[in-house]
Order: sequence, then C-alpha cells, then structure tokens
Amino acid sequence: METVATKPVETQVASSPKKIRHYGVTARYVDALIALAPVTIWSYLAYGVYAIRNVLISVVTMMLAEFVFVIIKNRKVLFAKDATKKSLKDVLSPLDFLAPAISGIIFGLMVPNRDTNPEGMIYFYLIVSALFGIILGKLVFGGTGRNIFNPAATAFVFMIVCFQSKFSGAYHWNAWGLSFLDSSASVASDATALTLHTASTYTWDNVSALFFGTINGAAGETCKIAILIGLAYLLIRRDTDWHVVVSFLVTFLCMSLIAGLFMAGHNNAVDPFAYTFYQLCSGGVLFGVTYLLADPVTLPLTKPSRVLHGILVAMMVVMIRTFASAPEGMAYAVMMGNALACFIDYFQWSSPKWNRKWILIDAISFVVILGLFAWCMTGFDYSVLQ
Amino acid sequence: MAESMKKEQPCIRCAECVNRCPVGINPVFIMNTMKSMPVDKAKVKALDPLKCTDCGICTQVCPSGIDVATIVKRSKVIAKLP
Repeated sequence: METVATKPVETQVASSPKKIRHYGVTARYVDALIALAPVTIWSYLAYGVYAIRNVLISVVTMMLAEFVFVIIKNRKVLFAKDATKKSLKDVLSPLDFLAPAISGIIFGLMVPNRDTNPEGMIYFYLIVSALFGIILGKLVFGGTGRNIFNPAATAFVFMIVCFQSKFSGAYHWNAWGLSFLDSSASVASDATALTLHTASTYTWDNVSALFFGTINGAAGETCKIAILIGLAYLLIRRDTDWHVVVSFLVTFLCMSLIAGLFMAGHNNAVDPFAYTFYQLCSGGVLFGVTYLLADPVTLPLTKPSRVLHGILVAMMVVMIRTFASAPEGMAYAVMMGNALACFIDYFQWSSPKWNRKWILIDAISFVVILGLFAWCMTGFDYSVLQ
Repeated sequence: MAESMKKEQPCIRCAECVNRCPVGINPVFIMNTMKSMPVDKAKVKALDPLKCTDCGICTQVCPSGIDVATIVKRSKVIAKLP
C-alpha cells in the first residue's frame, strides 16, 4: 500500500464570521478630522488668521448648538429626581463633539475669504449661517446619523443666498502670491476663477495655478494637492465609498469635455482638455467631492444607487456652472442630491447587489444625461468667450 | 457579554452590513422600519427578512456597535404574521 506523505499546513484558528473592520464609528470621525488637517494647515499658511478665525467661529457655534441639543434631548434623565437620573458625562458621547467640529471646519473653509462691509459683521454672518446649517440641516432630523442634508452644505447655501452681496471687498492676501488674478483691477473687483469666462482663461498655466493654489478664493478650496491628500486618506481607510467619487468624477469630466469640445467648435482659441481640467480644478468641485458628497450619512445605501447619485450630482454641478447665473454650484448640487437620495434608494426598487436592472439604469442615465447636455450646449451663448 | 453591553452609537449609513450580507437583504432598511412606531407590517414583509440565515455578519461588521442581527431576527416574527 502506497503511503502519502502529508505536509503540515499552516492554519490559524479563528471564530467565524471574520471581523473585517477593527475600529468603530468614532475612529471614522477622527479619520475625517485627519483628512481635513492638510487643507486646514494650508489655509492657515496661505491666509493666516483670517482662515483660522472663520473655522474657529463656525466650529464653536456648531458645537454649542449640538451641546444644547443633547441636553434638550436627554432632559428627562438629566433632570430626573429619582434613581433614573444620569449625569452629563453618561449622556455625552465623543460623536457629539466630533461631528459638529467636522461640519464647522468644512463650513469655515468654504467661506469666501474676502473683506466684508463692514468688517465686523462677518462674525454675525458666520454665526447665523452655522446655526442655520446645524439646526435645520441636522438637529431637526434627530442629530448625528439621521440628517438628510449635509450641515456644512446647508450653512454654505444659506450664507450664499442671504449674504452674498456683503462679501464685496478685496480678497485677503494669499501668502503664496497671485498669478492670473494679480492685477490691481481684478483684485478689487469680483473676479474669481469661475467668473472669468473668456477663451484666453482656459490655458494650462492657469490650470496649474489653480492646482497648486496660487490664486485667491475660499480658504480651503484653493490648494488641490491638500484636498487630494485628504481624499486619498479617506479612500485608503475606506471611510468613504469610492463608487460615488468615481462616478461623480467620470461624469463631471465627460460633461466638461463635451462643453469644451462645443466651445472649441465655436472658438478656436479654446483647448477642450484645458477647459476640462480648468473646470475640475476651479471652485469647490474637488473639495465638495471629498468632504460634502462622500459623507456616508447623506448618501444612498446601496452601491448601484450610489453610482446613480454621483451621476446626478455631477449633472447638476455642470448644468449650474454652465447655464445658471451662479458661478459655482457644488453646494447647491450636493443639497439637491441629498434630497434625491431617499428617492433613489426607495426600498421598492433599490437592490444591494448589482443586477441587470441597475446596470441598465446607471448606464442609460449616464448616456441620456450626456446626450441631453450636448443638446443643451447647442443653445449656449458662445459670445461670452470673446 | 461585555461587548453586547457596549453603548450603541448612531447608525451612520456606512452600508458595511448591506454590502456584506450573503443573502442580499438590506439590514438598515429593516432596522429603520422596526424602529419606527407603529411598525409597518407590509413594508417589513416587502423587505423579506425571512431570507436571513442568522449568520450575524451585520452585527460583526457594524462600526457603530448596533446589534443588527437581533433586530432582523425580531422582524422575522412580524413578517410571519398573517
């Protein structure tokens, strides 16, 4: 009888099912703070105390609002006379400080970094907008994890709608210098990278200036390298879903390329690829993708729905930027996407796994949106390029 | 025992349980339906918790420490009601 030589197999005994994540939800919020660190440090280096002032005021306001909310929510156990009474320490959790701090930092970094008229009123604008964002964007829905709108996006939209005209002064000094906005005429006027719509603007030099942050703008949105570091950190730690990021960026780049091709067809001076990357690097697109859109609380739940969500938000951003009177549309689009999320993810038609129906829905909506946008571009006013 | 007594954090809809469920049901929808009062029996039936095999992966992967598997197990009782 032939004997079979058995080789010892190295195995490790462990209980099933295998635990995949070894850190909890508090660590996820700390990760978000770490991802915000490069942007915050850069904005301090470039804009000094002005950026830190905006961030601090909004963080303190949002944390105080959340603290009061926690006290009101737990009033029955906090002020009980019998044995059910709990102390404030038992009621508070680390999330009650981390979540409003993250929202406050994001909102503070999105504020236009300009003089206000009069200067002291910026405290009022910041406090009122931060309160509006945290209360009507988050707390009325029941606090952390239950909000349907992103608090930072809500606060920013409120500030832009109500106080846009108040931010009319010159930009505060960018320590790294200015490149294509560096003329005395445009510094004092309202010119930002998104309101200059002439053909000579869309050059690779301006794209690199936008990428490295040597321009003026909102404190956190200018340097794309710091934002990309934060995005890479969030994706590596799997704190955010790559489906929505990838689907947003692919749709945004395709639609911007279509717009660039149409513009190049009417004006030979426009380079369509430079136009595409100019659109990607200008304004708050990358900042919004990293810190507003990829917030899992306000996303749909399933992978196919998240892909569709990214496509729809990208469509709204490009539509607002190209056709609307507002120069920037990221925060508006994120808020509209948040409102649509529960509709996309309705339990009657959402599916946790990829199936033929959802592949078809995502592919058809991508193609239809690109086609519709190309049709809309035939009616674009090309005289602004001159 | 000590782990089950841990304080629950709010669900942040990270969808770890949804992506890892081997039978393809949606534990978050089931949990939210079960937590709403009164419980919508037709909605619980439509979410099909009877497919659940009690593997417990949803509880294991939850970063918020929510015992999702027990809630899904409770929803099976409601789904079996006529």
